[in-house]
Amino acid sequence: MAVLSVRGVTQSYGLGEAKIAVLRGVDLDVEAGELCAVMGPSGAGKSTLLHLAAGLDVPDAGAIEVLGTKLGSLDDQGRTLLRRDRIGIVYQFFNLVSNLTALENVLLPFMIAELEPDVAAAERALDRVGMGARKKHLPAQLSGGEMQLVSIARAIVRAPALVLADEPTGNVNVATGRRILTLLREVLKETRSAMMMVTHNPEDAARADRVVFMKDGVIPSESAVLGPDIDVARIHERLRELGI
Amino acid sequence: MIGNFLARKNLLSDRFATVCMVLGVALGTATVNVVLALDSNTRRVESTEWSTNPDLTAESAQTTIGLIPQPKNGPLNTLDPTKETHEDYQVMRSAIRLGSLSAFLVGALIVFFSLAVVIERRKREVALLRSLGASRRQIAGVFVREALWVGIIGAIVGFVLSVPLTWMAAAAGITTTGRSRIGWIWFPWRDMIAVSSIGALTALLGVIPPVRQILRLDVTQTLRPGFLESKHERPPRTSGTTLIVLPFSLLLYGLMRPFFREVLPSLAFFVLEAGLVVLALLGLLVLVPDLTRFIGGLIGRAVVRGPRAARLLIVRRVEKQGHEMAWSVGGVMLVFALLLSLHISTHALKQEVVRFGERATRRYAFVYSQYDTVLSPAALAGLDPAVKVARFSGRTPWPNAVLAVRHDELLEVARATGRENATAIAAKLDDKSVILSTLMARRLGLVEGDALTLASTDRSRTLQVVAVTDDVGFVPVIGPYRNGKTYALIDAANFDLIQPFAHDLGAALVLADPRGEADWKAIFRALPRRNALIKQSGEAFEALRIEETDRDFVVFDVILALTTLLAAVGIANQLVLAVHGRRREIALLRVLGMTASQIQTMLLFEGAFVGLLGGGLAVVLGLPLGYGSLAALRVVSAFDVRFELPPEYVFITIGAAVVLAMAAALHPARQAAAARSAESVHYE
Repeated sequence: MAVLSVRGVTQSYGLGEAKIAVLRGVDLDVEAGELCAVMGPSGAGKSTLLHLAAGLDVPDAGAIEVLGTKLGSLDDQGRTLLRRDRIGIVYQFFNLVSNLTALENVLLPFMIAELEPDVAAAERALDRVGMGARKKHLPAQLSGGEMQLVSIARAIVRAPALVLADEPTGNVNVATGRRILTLLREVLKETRSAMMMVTHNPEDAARADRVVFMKDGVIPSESAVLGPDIDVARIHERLRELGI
Repeated sequence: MIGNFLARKNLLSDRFATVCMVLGVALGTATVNVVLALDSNTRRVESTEWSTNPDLTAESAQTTIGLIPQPKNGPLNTLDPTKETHEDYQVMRSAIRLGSLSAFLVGALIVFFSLAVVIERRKREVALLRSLGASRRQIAGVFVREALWVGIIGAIVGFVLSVPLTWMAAAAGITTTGRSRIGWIWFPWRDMIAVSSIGALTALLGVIPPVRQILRLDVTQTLRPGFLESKHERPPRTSGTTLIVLPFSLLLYGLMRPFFREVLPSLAFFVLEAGLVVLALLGLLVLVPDLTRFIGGLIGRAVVRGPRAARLLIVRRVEKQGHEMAWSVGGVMLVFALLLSLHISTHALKQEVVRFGERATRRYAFVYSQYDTVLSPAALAGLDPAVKVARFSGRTPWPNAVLAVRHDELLEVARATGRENATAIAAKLDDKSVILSTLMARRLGLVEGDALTLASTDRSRTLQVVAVTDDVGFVPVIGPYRNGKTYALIDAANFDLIQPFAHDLGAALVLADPRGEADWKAIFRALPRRNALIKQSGEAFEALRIEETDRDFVVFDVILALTTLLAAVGIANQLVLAVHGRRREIALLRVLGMTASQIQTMLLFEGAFVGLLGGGLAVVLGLPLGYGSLAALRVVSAFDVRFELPPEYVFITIGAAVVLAMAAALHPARQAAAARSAESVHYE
């Protein structure tokens, strides 16, 4: 069973003449242990798809299932609880709570879930991303790359079944970006989590198990690149073919 | 052109802040205008009444008995009776006028805070405009226009609002002294326009500091994406100099105070002290950000309960960004400190009535008239023979109130109360002596053992002061409470001295029942029914006086109610702006799994925290303020008011502050919970 299953999802924004169809019937499955990269031009609906998968928004039509639970059958509270317990999210902009230290930021998911804060697990997660020594620092005292590493530690601290990453290397230097991708791959292997990663970077996408391309609100199934075919040149070629 | 366009756009896009700023100016202006109008009308009404205008008694012919103090020791130390009561009320008026400034101050705080936050929030937009070629003058013009519109609209709304509010207050019997009733209202338009203009000016003044700051901003730095700014922002802290200046000024004034007290008249002294209190309050506001951070952090850790995440986030926010909450905390502190000190004062005044009642009115009953009715002995024939009656003469006109009573009747009535002290004092009165109430003794500068010469139109007599007391001789009068308590009591044998100015014995009766708890209603039924004859037990008099005390101070309550409303507007505004500023953080928390109700609870907690801290600081500030007001009251009124803090006042102050702040937080909390998180968290 796919960890994430998206079927015929459509989504529009605006009203009347200003209405824009962002997703026009998207289908996608992401299996456990799989890293699926989603590429596409700006405005193709990549981030919208990610938000729908996170239960932050509700599609106009179609179905999204996370671990067999239909998001459409849940209210806001239900979707929030599912996100809290089973999904980890990493954003392009580091999104740390500015008043909390790195360790406290990583402990937040426990506290929000009203669980006893597992300091040992949080410290392990920070060590895992190489930020153990900076655990008492505030976000303002960290560099962009370091903040992103802390936000990854926060996303994985409760071993979520699904990790959603929205351009996780978009605002870090090349070396840190590589480090982040290596880290995410390792974590995925260890935890057998599924991961959907939205990216513009062919190098990042080349490290995925599967790359799908979005154009005009759909994912043409025949366009996917997977398995041994994945390399930067192949991705560039596919992008050219799709006119992206 | 661009200035007007952007100013209008900005005001509309920040609707809530705009409405709060307009309300800040409007309610502040309206409060001062209402007080101004009420006070002008109170003065106008009182100037025409003999009992409230001491100048009307200044006639050439002798209209009352002359009282010439003859102190045994020391120099003559009398007070000017024509100014005495008048000055009390002048002090009260000044206090009310100053009190109305609290609303103005809180309103100004809202405007200053909102403009500071709103302009700070637009610094990126300003940098963009600068990069597009907008001059500093054009940028400043946008914000000045915004402030001007807020100020003008607020001042007009406040001006218009003050008219019906004044009507309503006057119709409810509210005046600035509690002594008269305002019939038709005359509005001091010119003064009200001046006040409203100052209200409008407040907004203009409020825009100066943030505009000066924003014009100095580094355009390239500001246009960089926010996430690239790794500079650790240090919250502003109070400088050491400021911390030294406040206690030093206090010490300096403490040393100079006796000198001021001696050389200044009471009213000037009061105005000086009240002005200094206002300055001290403003000075304390400087310390509020630090207090919010330090004390708030401690209280937060010790007191805040609830969801772990919410608790941690609130405590951290207070510690790191407490200065942002300080505006709300300062507003709550100011309002509730004033409310607490006001209620400490009214409580003390009521306690004074109770203590006075224990000595002078309880176990007695009084019969007196508004229209000089004199009851003859025959009219008392139907009274229960067990009830003891002392027939008092009428009083000589104010200010030299003297009344006579038969000493044997006074003694019998005193005995009937069972009070040994009263009996002993009553036994001292004879045709060679006089008993002075404490207020009359204070005015004349006399003590027990001194002499007092009573000078009538054609004769005079010097009598020995045998007691300075309120235990015997009090008879209620129509008019100010203080006047009723200022009297000299002589034996009926000397009635000829005051006869030209006072009604005969029987103008007032004091009754006492030796059998204990008397059924005064039944006893009163035996007395004749006369027009405007007031029959009142001592307990009823006391209850009425306590009611009157509340009524005298209701105008303060009205002012502070408006100020409280403004404080609530200020808190709501601060939280709405904070929610807007933190929308990304709130969205992130939603993404991490915080439910809408958890977000709402967190914001309500934050409101409660502002209330708790503001209420706590209000108690700390309200106590010395209340103590100071009582000291001022003692000086100007000579009432025996004692500082006393009913423990429930502390809880009510803090509780009410928490409730107010939580109520104000409701709208921002709902707004935060309903915000769409997807966009906020995605974009920088």
